[in-house]
Amino acid sequence: MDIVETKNLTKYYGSVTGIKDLSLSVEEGEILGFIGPNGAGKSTTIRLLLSLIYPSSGSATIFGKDVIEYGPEIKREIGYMPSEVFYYENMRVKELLEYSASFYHKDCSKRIKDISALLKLDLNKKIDDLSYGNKKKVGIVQGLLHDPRLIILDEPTGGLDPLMQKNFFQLLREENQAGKTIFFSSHILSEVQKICDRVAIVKDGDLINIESMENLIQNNYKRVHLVTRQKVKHEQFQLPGVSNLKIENSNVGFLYKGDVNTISRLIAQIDLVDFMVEEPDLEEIFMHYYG
Amino acid sequence: MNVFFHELKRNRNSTIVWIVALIAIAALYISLYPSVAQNPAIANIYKNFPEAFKKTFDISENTLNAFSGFYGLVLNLLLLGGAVQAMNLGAGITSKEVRERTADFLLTKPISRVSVLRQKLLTIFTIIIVTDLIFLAADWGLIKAIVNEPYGFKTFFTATSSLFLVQLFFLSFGFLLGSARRRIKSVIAVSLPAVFGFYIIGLFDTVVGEKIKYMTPFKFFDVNMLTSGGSYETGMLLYLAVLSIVAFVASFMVYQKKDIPTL
Repeated sequence: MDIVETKNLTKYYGSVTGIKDLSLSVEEGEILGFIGPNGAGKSTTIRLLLSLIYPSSGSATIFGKDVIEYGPEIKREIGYMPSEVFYYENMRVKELLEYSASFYHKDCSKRIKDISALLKLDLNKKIDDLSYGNKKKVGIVQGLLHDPRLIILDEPTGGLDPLMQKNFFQLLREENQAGKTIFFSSHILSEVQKICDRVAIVKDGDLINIESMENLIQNNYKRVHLVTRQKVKHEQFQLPGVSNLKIENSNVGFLYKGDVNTISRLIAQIDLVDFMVEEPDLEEIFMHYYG
Repeated sequence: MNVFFHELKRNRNSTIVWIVALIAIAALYISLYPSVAQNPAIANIYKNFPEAFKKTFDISENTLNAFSGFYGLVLNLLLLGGAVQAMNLGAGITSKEVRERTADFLLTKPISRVSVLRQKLLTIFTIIIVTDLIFLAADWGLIKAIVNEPYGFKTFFTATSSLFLVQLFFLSFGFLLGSARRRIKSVIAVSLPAVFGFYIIGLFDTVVGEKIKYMTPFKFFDVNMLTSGGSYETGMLLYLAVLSIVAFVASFMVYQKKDIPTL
């Protein structure tokens, strides 16, 4: 069964397009990465799913129920973590979490204790006094304390240090193994690669592609930078999989997609001062992979 | 009811401050009364004030001759304060969630917007009623302790009830603004101009004439008449009730359909 389904979901802010004709489905038990550059419409989609905003046209269902008509009912089983967390001033972490739990009419105290312990979150501190990363943890606990069936995360990792990020991903994997569906929005490809089963890519409000992580990794682009000792020619790099080649004096840059052995052999023939292989940013992937 | 209790707690401190402030204004003015009452020197000073000034502050012949007149002066001031409190509350209670971005937190919980608004409405009514009851008791105590003139409770109660009625108007007006506007950056920057705007409209009564009483809550009833034993016009009470109900109903309708903005 599809946990989330959107049909031609469209949202205009005045004359500005938020998202356009977005049709997407999230299957039960999967972790779907929802990825795109800032302003692509990720948050718009999430806010529509949570009926914080209303669509200009199209519709969305969660657990098979319309998100607007059955909003309060389906939200019992949704955990949401906003990208930026601001909470009521002058409240302690514990008070905020208890207030959050009071909406679900069930005992959440054990989950609050367990998840906070895992993330090393001090429940007695005032939220105002917490660092950005620690506030983010409050957001995580708040989103998970009622044991939701669907977890919606909007750029959840900003501000978390690497160790906490690891714990957080571990937590998400455990939730996922317990059968929870996760909708994970991010603009960081490597983060999504670590955890997601499938990836949906949005750009300028359009769903460009949705495919399994495996496929995406096979089509993985590398951005290669070389600083060479001698001048090199364009012809040397005429190889299948090389694109966007730029040579300026001793600086060479291109995108590469294909067998890494082929390219490493080619590079080995060149006398180098320095070289660097990195993940292209999303914009580059969009430009060269998705045209 | 969790939202209701949460909101009560959040508004507790500001409510205490408002109650203390209203009582302080009343105490300050009422304690002046014995020294100005029937004091010909002060009466003379007042007499020589420019007409426009007297008009603005509702000073009449009666003001210094009897407590009923003097209390009208005090009450006018209290109405202004109470109006600001009500407008702040009404406009603040929903817009605050958007400004501090807690709307995202609250509205992704399993609760309908109608229920959120209902509980918030209950909160602001509770706060205003508690404020007014405590104020009323303190005010009556002050009058009995300080004023050496007979002043009946019924007259006092009728006149002082105008505080609640003016507040009702600003509560509903503020609630509508807070629910309907996309975002309110600063509540006080909305509430002060609104309250003083309506107050200033009231000063044009000689220009506008009889119709002024429909245009500003400060003229829905004549405070000076009330403090001297007058009563409310039923028509005006109905008018106020209709205005408030329309504002509250409109708030619910707009808030239901509203897009919650991000910062």
